[in-house]
Amino acid sequence: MKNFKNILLATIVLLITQSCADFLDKDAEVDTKLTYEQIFSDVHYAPGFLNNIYNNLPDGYTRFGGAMLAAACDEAVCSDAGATINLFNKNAINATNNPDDVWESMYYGIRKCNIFLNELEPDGIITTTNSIPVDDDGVKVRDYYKGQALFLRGFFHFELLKRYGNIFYVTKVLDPFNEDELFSEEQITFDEAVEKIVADLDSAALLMPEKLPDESYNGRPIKWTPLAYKSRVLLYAASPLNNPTNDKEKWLRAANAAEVIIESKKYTLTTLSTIFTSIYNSEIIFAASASKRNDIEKYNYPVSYEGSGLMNPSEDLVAAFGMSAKTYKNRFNDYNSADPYSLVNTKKREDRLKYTVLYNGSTLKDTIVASYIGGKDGLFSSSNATKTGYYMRKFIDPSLDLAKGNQSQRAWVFMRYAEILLNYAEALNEYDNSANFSEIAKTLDELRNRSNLRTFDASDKTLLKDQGEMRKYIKLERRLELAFEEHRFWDLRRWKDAEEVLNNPVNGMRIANEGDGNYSYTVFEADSRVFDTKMYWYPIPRTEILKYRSAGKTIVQNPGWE
Amino acid sequence: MNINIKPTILILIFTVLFQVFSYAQENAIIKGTVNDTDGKPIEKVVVSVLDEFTQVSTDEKGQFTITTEPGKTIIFSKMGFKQQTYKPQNKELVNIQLIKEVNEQLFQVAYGTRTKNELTSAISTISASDLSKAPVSTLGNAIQGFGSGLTVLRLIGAEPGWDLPVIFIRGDQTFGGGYAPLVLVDNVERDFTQLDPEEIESFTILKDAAATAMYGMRGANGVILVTTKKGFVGKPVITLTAQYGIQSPTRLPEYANAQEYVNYRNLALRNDYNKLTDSEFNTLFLSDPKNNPDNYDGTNPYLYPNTDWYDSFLKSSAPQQSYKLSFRGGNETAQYYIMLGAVNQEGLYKYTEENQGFSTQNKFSRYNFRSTIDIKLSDDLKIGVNLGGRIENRHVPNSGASTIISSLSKNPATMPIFNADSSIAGTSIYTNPYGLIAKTGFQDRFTRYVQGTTTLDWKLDNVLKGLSANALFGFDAYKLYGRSKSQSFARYQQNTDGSYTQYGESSSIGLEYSGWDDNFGLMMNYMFGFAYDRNFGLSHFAADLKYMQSSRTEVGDNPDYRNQGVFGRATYSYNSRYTAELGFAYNGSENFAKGERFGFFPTLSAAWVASNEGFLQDNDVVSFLKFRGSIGKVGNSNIGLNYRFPYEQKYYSGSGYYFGTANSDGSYEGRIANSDITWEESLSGNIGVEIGLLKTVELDIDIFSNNRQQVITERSNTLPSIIGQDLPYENNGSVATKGFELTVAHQNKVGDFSYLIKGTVSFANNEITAKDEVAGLNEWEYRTGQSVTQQWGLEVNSDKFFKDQTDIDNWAQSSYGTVQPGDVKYVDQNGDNIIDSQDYIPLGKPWVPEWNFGLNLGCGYKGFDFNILLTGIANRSQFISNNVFWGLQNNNNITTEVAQNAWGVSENPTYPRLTTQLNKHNYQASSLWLKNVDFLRIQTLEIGYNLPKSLVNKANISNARIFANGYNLFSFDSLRKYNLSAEVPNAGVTLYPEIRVMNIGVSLNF
Repeated sequence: MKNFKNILLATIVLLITQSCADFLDKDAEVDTKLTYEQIFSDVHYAPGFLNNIYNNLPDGYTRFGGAMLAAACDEAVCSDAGATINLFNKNAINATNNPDDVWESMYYGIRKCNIFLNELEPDGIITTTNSIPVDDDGVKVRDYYKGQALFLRGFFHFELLKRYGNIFYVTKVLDPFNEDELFSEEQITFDEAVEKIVADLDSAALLMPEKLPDESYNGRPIKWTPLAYKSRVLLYAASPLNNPTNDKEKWLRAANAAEVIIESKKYTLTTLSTIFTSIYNSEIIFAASASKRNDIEKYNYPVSYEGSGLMNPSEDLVAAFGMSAKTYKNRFNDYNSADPYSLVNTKKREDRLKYTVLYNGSTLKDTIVASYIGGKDGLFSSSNATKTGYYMRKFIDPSLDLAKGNQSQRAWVFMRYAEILLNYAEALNEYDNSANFSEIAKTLDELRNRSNLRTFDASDKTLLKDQGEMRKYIKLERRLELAFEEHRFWDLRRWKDAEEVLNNPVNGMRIANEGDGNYSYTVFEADSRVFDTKMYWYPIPRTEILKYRSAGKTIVQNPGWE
Repeated sequence: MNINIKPTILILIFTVLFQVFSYAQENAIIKGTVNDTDGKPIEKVVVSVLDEFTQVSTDEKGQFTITTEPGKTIIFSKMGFKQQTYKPQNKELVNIQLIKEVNEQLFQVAYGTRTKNELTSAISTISASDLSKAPVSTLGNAIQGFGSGLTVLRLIGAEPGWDLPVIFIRGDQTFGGGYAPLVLVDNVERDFTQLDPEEIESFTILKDAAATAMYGMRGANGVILVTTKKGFVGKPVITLTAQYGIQSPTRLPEYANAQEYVNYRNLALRNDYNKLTDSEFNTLFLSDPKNNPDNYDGTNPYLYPNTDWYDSFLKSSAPQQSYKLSFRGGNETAQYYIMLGAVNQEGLYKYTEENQGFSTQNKFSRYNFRSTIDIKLSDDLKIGVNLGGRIENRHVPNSGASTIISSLSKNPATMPIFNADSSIAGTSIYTNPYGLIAKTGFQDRFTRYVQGTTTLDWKLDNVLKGLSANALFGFDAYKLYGRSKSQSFARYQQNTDGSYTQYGESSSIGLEYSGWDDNFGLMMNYMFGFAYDRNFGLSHFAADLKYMQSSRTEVGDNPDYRNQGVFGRATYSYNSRYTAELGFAYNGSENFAKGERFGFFPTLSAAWVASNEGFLQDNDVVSFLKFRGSIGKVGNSNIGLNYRFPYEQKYYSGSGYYFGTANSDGSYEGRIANSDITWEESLSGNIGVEIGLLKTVELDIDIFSNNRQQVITERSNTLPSIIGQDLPYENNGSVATKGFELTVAHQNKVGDFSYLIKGTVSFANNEITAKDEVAGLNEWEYRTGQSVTQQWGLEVNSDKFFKDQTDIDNWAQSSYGTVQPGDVKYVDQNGDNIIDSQDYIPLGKPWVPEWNFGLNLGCGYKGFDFNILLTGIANRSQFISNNVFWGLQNNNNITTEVAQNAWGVSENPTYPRLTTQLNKHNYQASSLWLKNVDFLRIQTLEIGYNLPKSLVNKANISNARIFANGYNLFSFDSLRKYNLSAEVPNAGVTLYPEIRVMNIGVSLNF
């Protein structure tokens, strides 16, 4: 018995000694937590922190559940009537339901940039631990990484700027427990923001190499990427919406920025068929991650191809494509409205139409797209079927078989060389048409050439020497060349054309099968469009406004949204 | 914590055995009689010798003869009498008087028991016999309706082995998320839901702060204490129970037949394509023979079938059975309880035996084992070893129940099961449940669970009279593993021209098992302390002081979950009239930062038994009257975030980016940390009155008010988003919960007829009293002031639906899509002419019901007994958003109940227009889909008959009972007309059906 009591006592003593005061501390052996210091002093995680920021780039294919921003202007109709993108078209946006509200998501990206930049400072962990080397095989790696972070910070801020106008330019890592500092951040004006973005882009360019060190860097920006972005930023800044006094110097600055890219001879136009299916091609200035995917096809293939047929180009867009073999001035000669997608050589529409739109009779996967009423892809054939008589062709990889689950690498293209040419032409034309006419014409001819259109002839030139005519042409060219690429939506705003254009309904083409291969074509109103001038700027989210006011701070909401 | 403890335990056990077998000396024969205080002889008194197995019992004259060595202590015990000991010096004739024990009921409280007089806290108990009245495999479902203050909600259908309910004590008192009560089995944190009711001795719900005081930081959500059975001193009792039951689905939705479906679908198509002219519509749709209802007359069952999916794939009944065998007995030295239980439950699917070598039926089997041994090692040292274990095997088709049941619900009657060429029918949209059940393979999931609890109780009267030391070691281990084989199937659609279109590909069953990772979990719990219990004259003083620590290891979720603390209680009572109790805990959780880890949680409670005062003594009407009250602070360290260590800033690796030809490294920052984050705290008060009337009526009333503070929330509503990161969790919410519980019981016996009526009513209402919210919102948008589980939705205007385009044009725009006549007309609360999330208002009742009812009626007459339990809930609403109400979308089937009352069909429509399309506008959360789901249900009903003793005793059986019982027999509620369960409206639609069980059984005691 005594033995036993001793054992019992021993057990209790054992328990007491084991239950030391730090019982609740984490067992270091199984604690896999990474600390801030570990992240930034590690040769994988430190650059990984920057790599991760790229995930915050917005992908134009998926941001609206398969619908695209094009359906919020006159380019397309979304076949899903319940899609949130339609709120734009019904003037049903308010400060809480904006489907394109990126206020929060962009600041998430900006915070990451600021954290990373902090650690690149002379006293930062990256610098002190050399986790990203200064120089690696001749590549100035640390500068390059810093340049990328600055570029991304500028990129994110520009996404905010073009939407909200009145933004906070955040360059430090904000602490939620330091409310004084938090609320001391102030909104800045559009022009101030432009300067800050340009400053970040310029600094980025100075730090980055002129060409990719090797293929493993594919997808990253190089020196010319921020400079190309600068051309876009300055073009927006010079445009009527943001340049009400039409300060010509702003246009000149924009033109110069574009010219830098053209002069760099770094980029060339590729063939129409491969712009979006061949990753890292010579035309791409900046694109999102080239991941393997088929969601673009799932969303947009016509309904008989197992797709959802979401994006339906408008007849208005289709009608803007001229004839293939004609000059600009005569581009609609020989157009036959009874055979609008004619295969007859002289009556063919220009090439870009077939790379942009699937129409009745287009071939996709060895089958004819039948978008006539009663056809397998036609109006009313199913709830997702086209609402305009057309499906989107741009971006899709026609080799994919969805039934087999095929995928291919594609990237959402943020910027390509064609835009630079158009930016340049537009800025020059606005700055001084007559002095720069031949430069403008030469630039635009590059795009006409690539599309197998005739270069400008004498009669075109006579017409286009008028600044207004040239403006009309450039606007048309941007519409056709950059269709569905999230340009038209913003172009209509910066040109202040939206209140005119987006108050008209968008049309579709109703195609009836008359038998014997004959069809009749009737243009019909496919969807309405309403544009209120307050939509030139998005509302800053209502919750954000209330947060500042609850805290007794001022915040400026955009006009019309109070 | 290291594992050196295991050898120690072995040594302990060997020591015990050695002690037991090491005595054998010269014997003496002792004879004697046992009488009661009136001098009458008592028969069947167990006479045993201390520390030996020798045991006899007295005859009808109260006489006994026992052989032992002189100087040994002899123990006399019988139920209902106080135990006596006697130490004979030599051969002698012994006269023993046993004193009748006042049979005072003991209530289980935290780490102890209390008499009714001295109980100062609010608890409710469920008797072990009640638990076995519900023939269900998951014990969690058997406690529904019992126990005041308890809410048990079933969330999913009754799929064998998967039907765990959620449990709330006094409602959901926090919006932080960690609402679950602490559950302890034999004083160790463990799950109880898969125990066999047979192995349970008592089931107690601790409700107020005084009751949960010793759990401190873990007590605020209430505690469930489950105690398993132990042996007793007496002749061995062997119990064998065998039961066989049939399960059948309670309610299954009734869908339109083929002709009705086609008719309704044509109406829907006309609505959807309202831009077409009649002739265009005819050409495009009505001319299609598939859309002609007349074709579905049965003449071509392949092209124009009329399939009843539920009937074709669900059996009307499936068997379940359970067997339990237990041995219980012991003597003064050692008592034992051994139980073996087996449960087997089958699923309802048809077509499960289509494959050679394996079944795809849903099956659940469980084997429970328990062995409890309590040994008195010496006069002052007791050890208890309680081992429990179970094996759970779950077998399911590789397609989940929700996929299979959804296909039954969605497939229209116009689709065949098999084609004319006997291939599996199907289209791109319709998945054939035949394929899902029979041709996707199967899964097995195995759980192996062992739990051991060793307790020591060491009387230290020689140090200080009344003092004892105690210790507990709990050791649980479990292993979860599984395997599966999968296959895929092709389905074929027969076209009108006789050709077939194939969807999907067929594959044969995989040869190899594709395994899941083995999961191995380990829990260790140590507790030791001192107890003091002594009477001084009329005073009774009891105190406890304990230390505990526990750690739980789960694979893939490191580090351990740990708790540690000291806690105690001191109780003083005087003359069975006045009792005061002080309880405290100082404990901590691994989840908080050093410095924020430990909290002190004191409680104070008192009781006054007024009926023991002179003025009420011997009162004929008021036989018992007690007032009690408690106040205290308890905490909740379960912050409910599924996010551990919120105090530390986390960084993660991964989420790189695709550059060049490969994914690159990635790393990123997690949610911003809050180093000050800590537990939730509840300031709780409770007042109770216990009344006994006419010796047959008991009335218990409790009123409580709990103030939960430091509720975990984040400040995303008030801090600007330019921070650019998920905001830290902070302790800055609060919730006030108030309510009461009432239990009335009346028990009486009139001649041979005995009866029991017991009703409980529980009410708990909560309100968020503080939450991070900005000024300037519309008043209906505030969560503050609303219940934690309040639901929000759009208000439907009084005229419900748009009647024409003008009506639409004159109304606010929908942000949920294009509307047309027949669509729902919502109220634009803020008048901005847009219907959107700002127009969501609080609708209906909370999701957790405010009222819980139970009514238990029982009676017995001679050998017969009858018992019925009614349960009910009230003040609960649920949005029902399943295919029963939203039919025809995506060409799914539709119920006639809804179709007949749709806009455009009925004169006085209650549902919007029919549509084949996904209509976000109509199917927003709104008052249209929010249903009152209050119910009153016949939960269990049991009839039993004890066979006459004269008959069974001949077969050496001391008692034999045959019984029949039923579970979930009938429900009174407003969802009956839709054939939906009010508790789980998605059961049978997107979830496995609810079941009713009819069960017969026999129970034998030897």
